[in-house]
Amino acid sequence: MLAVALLALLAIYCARALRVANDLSVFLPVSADDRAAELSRALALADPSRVLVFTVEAAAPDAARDAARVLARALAKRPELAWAEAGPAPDLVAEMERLLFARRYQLVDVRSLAPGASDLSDEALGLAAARLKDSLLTPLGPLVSRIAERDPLLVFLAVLERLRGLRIGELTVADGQYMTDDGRAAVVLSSTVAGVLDSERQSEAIAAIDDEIEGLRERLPQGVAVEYTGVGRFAVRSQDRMLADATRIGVVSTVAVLLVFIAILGSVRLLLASMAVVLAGLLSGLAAVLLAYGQIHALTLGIGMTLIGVCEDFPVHYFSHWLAGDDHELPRATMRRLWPALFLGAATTVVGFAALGLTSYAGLREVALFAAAGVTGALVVTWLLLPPLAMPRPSFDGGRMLVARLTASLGPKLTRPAARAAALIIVLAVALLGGPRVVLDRSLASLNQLDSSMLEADARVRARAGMSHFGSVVVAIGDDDETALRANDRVASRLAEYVARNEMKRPATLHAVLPSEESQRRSFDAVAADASVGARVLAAFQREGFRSDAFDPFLRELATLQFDALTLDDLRGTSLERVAAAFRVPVGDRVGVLTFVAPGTDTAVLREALIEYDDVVVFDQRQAIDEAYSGYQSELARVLWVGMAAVFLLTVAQYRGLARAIAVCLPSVLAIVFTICALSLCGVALNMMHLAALVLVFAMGVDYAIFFEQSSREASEGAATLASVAVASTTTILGFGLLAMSDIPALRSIGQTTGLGITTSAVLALILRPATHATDGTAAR
Amino acid sequence: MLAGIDACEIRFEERKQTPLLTAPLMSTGVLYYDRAIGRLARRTETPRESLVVIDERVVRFEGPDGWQALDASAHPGLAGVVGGFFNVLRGDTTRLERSYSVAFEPEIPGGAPWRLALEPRSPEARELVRRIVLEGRGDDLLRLVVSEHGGMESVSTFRAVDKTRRFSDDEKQRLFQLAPRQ
Repeated sequence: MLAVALLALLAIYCARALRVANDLSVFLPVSADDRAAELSRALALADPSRVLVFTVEAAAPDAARDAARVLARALAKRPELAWAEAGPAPDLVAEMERLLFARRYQLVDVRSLAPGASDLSDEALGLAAARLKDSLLTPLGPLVSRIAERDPLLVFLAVLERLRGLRIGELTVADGQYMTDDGRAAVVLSSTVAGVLDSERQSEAIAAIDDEIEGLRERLPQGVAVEYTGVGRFAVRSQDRMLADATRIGVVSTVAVLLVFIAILGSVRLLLASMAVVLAGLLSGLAAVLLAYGQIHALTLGIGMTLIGVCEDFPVHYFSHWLAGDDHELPRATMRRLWPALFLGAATTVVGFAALGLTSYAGLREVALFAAAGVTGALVVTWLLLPPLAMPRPSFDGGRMLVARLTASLGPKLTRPAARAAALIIVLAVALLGGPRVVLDRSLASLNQLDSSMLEADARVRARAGMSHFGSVVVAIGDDDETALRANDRVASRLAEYVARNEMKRPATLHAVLPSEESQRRSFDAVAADASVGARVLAAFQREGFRSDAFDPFLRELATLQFDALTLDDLRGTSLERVAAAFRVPVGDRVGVLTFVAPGTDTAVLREALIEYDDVVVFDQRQAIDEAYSGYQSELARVLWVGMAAVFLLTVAQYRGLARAIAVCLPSVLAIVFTICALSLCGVALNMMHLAALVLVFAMGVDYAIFFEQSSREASEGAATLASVAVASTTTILGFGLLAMSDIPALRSIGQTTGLGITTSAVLALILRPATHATDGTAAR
Repeated sequence: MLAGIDACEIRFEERKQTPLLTAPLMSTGVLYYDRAIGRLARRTETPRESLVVIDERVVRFEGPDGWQALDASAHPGLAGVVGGFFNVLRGDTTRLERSYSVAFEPEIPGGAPWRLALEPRSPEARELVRRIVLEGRGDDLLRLVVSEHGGMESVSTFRAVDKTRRFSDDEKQRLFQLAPRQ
């Protein structure tokens, strides 16, 4: 009753408190460096990562353009998408003139305009006059002549030229629409409302887009081909594949485990009792995470549910012994007899999971808490629930007898000295051959194998649209917008030197249109503070053949020039608002202004260029994630040692001696060595999931040796223990090992390690039992 | 007429009248065009040496800090004008008629040359260019008259048209500012 009440309470609490999170940022590796971690998260959530690029191709370019407009309009109406456009705003220049013309002296320092000059000397003004004359003869002539009377120094042209600096890609525009370079397909840009790590809302956005594309195909019977790409699409596809794979394998393994259970236990009642133990594990883990974090991540739930499979071992061990035991022994007595081994087995597993909780990887800590609490809850329910449900003994015992016969026939053979020697030789040989080949895969990419067809489409769409992925990002950080923009001025100025020397391609920078107010003031004063500028400009231009009254509008404006700082607020409601938003990210409670560096730029060169600025960080998202991931790997290697040491100390404490502790831990240690070296021998580079799974192999593998250790002191228990370990390891392999067949590298890594590791642990625990036991004087007595 | 030209080199003389200057501007130089790379280069020899390279997206010219580029797409008027020239060179009448109202007078054998008059449709382009008139015989371009905003007008006359001109990789880099092949 107590167990049922406990289960009911847990179920009610979980149902009321359940809140499942989908934000994948918890599972994003973050650097131990707080600032890098903040930046990593900020960039993962930043606007550019949400942008989707579409190419629309039809029978003729005109049809493609029409279809692109239709698609953009449809997408723009979807609430899941923030915006969609098939071309630049039609009134862009008029808007830029309204916003920037009057402020042109603030945005461009006129002292830098004349070739080879750095001041507003008469010589420099003479060069500017010659430049205007030359410009009138160029294809820019119509544009130049329209603004020359107000802007003879062509400052506004320089402002327009700078707008190119805002471009992260190089889109072609023809007849007011984005087009591919070959002119055959139209291009549409859009952005999701949700960040790429919000998997649920990203899924909704991708579904909305697919709907609209399907609708477009139906509306345009002559045929239209739409391809699109974006980071969010990859995230959704990865999640879908992972869920589908986990579900497929989960169903297969669950059915297989249930069949094994029903065959061995011979009773639906005992099967349901066993499942109640697993359910208790699930509810306990869920409740613990909900209590600690207020929510549970969907991935924690998925991984945790798999880990909780280990709880099946408790009913398997208990029922195997009870069914094989004396008919007169009461179920509770069997439980008491087995309890020390069950308790120690559970405790070593909990300690192993707890060790995983020592990592700084937030996602793994959540999983560790779930599993540790789950195993504890399952153990409690094993104690409370199984004995009352054990009676009466089921009449069907065919499966159990089969296992008993198999183990009775195999058991003695496997424990012969020759078998023990052979096992040790095999482990040693694999260690010697595989040891030197152990390679750690320190790239996160190995865990996230992206869909190759999507990768090809991504490359194709981006190449056609001229929207390549950007490379490193420079983040200028300040307490507020102004201080961040000042730092950004310094970045722009330094990088411009490298661009001028052809050592770097032009970066995309907000400085192009929004220098800091301080910089704007400095540029403005170069014109406003020099009262002679007007007269000297007139004289220089007259010498070059311009009419004396040609620039009256310029002189009138100069006489009434007022400083009017351009700020982010001024960009609100204009076409530049969205552009500027792509460059600004919150970094904790501070502000970061981004500069997107062209792909292929050497990050080391970039860091060297900006090394003297404390408020500037060169950030390579992929490198940062790989570094963080690599850090986790080192950390997990330490966790493995800590976990093994903790489990060993626990067994020492339980057995009050070193010998028996060594005896129960030795098979798992050898199993870990064998697993690492065998995987390496097969050419598998060990990633983070392999290392995490090794901790589980040790924590769970020790259980088998503990069960054997306990039964070795009672001759009649040997066969039951052998059968229970055989069944438990079979169900564990069915639960975990089937993951090795997964297409998802992360799941496959867990499956490979646990499948191989648990099997080896069980076999070595059996083979080494007499040998290890023989070292124990207590047992011999 | 011009659609069959893959690449060419044309000498030009231009006379530009503008209210800003006390005297007309005279210039001479060479135009280079390569359809395959979609770029037009205008090398001015007098009164000063300069080079401007345009494609449908960007106008590149030598500025105070070396090569500068003006994004035509950020300026629909300029994009319309530049795009119009390329549509004429490609003989793409469909796209040309989308941006311009087109009037064509065919060549009279032994008499007047053919005459193509273009007036921009978009207000942004009309802010810059009122009217463009091209004249020629067969596939030879003879004269280009551009009437611009504020009473400015330029008249270019063409001669020594070489329609068999092909550009080497080195010339493509030098004249058209094409990035060297990797």
